[in-house]
Amino acid sequence: MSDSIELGIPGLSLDVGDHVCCFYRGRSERDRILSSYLGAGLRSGDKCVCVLDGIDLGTAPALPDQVLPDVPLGGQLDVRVSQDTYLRGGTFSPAAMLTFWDDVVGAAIAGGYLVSRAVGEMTWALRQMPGVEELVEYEAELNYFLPRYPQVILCLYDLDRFDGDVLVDILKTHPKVLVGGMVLDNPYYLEPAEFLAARR
Amino acid sequence: MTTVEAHPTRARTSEEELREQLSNMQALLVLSMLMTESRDERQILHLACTAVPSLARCGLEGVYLVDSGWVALDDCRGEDDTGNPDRGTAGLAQVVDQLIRLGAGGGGLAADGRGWTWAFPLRGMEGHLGYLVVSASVAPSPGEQFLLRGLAQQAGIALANARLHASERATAETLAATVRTLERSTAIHDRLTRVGVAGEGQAGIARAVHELTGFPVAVEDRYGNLRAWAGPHRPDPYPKDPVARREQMLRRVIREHRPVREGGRLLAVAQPRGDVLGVLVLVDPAGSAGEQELVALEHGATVLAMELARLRSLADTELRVRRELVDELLGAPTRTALWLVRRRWATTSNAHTGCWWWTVGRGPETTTRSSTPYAGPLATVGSAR
Repeated sequence: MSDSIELGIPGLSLDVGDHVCCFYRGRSERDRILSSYLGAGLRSGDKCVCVLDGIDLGTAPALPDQVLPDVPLGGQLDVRVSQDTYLRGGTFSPAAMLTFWDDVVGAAIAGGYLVSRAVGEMTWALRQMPGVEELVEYEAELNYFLPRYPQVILCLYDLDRFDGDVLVDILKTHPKVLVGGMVLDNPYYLEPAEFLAARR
Repeated sequence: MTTVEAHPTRARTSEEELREQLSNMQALLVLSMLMTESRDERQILHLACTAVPSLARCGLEGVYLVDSGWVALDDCRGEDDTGNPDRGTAGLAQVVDQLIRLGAGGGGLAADGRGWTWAFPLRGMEGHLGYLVVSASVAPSPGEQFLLRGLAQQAGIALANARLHASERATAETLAATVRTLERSTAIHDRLTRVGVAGEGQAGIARAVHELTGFPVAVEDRYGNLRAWAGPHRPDPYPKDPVARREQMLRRVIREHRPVREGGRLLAVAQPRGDVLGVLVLVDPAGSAGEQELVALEHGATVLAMELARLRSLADTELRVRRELVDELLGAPTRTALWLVRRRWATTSNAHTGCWWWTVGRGPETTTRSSTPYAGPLATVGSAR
């Protein structure tokens, strides 16, 4: 197994174990990123898990039509929505969400996938719901979860919707940042304990 | 300015603080990229202002721009480090005078109810743009102040970049609009020039202006009689103003040197050498004709003036030739008269004058006929064409 993960964007790759925050502007750019990232994962035989926000499964398809239109859901491609994951039960719990990732990724690796690549759309954190203020702590804790499996996690942040304070905190807790078509390393990212200590 | 107190010491190692500072600088770098990529001034300031509490233990007081004063950014203003949500703008008025005196370097401010207040300069390529004003109960650490200075500087550069981009975009849009106008004017000029060259006459001019504008077009003579019409809804009978009103309208158009709206019509006069020979009318009851339609109307009126001037010149020439010829014929023998007819016809005829026939009335033997192939009717002088 190679340690390099094709991002789906020519010239860009990640390493197994990377936790990347990705900044984009608007729905169309999000869909392009999803299409590239998940498409490359499917071609590589990775388990692909995608959690989207703002989708009512009763009225809309889980994955927008323009993202991987010919790929059936289920099996290799697992698409979820925020209300069943991040905000399950109407509240956000970092522990419950980490358990969710552990279950899904653990099952995939146990099922024979060599790598899991996950992507989460983070706009759910803008809602006035219990627990969403723990977003940055969750992101910091996620760094502890990454080494447990051969995986990559991409967190999507819409620049048009998140404020500067959240963006700065997110930048401080992510080892890598995907912005403007570039992957930037952040060797000085803060571990959860450091981040939380600095906040107090 | 308020006395600056040192920030309370925290039980953190210098290595941890250094790591946090580096992490903050990394975040500031990315934030700077995001601000520089933005073309929206408000979005840039929003990003910068909302990032303040994450980079330093202080809160935002506001953004002051030298060209527009305080920027309304109420949604950026959170609680300060004392938990006071009532930052508002009430306390800001008192610091404006201080800001004006500060100059481009920024510096400390004295504000009631604030412990430490500082104006960090927003600087762009072309100069000083304003200040990012923050406050805290105690002075942030030097490292935090460095981050705030960097944040303000990057926001200033992004602002200047956005303004430059907006200016260039506006210039490009103006240029594109000018090019479009010129292209349209050229198309109008070409179309009407072709009409003139092709000799399509008044009907052709009306048709061309109608095609160029989409509006019904009429050509009237000086007195309001319809000479040509192009487009739908031709009135029948054609309305005609009373003489006095018509003259008043013509005087108005001549005085204003441009098309004039009268009722639902735009009128331009064909006025070669000072005489009004005709009027070109754009029928526009909704008043929706724009600048390009006016250009087409004005240019059409010019071409119409040339056409009418040519026709008048031709009529004058023919009248003069007739008079001269009659005078010569009446004073010459029959053979000489016939020769004169042939010579005169040869030198003055053209595609428009055709052939002239005369009966010179001294008896049957004096009747003459041209030897040209034209087989028109025999006519008396003054009626043949």
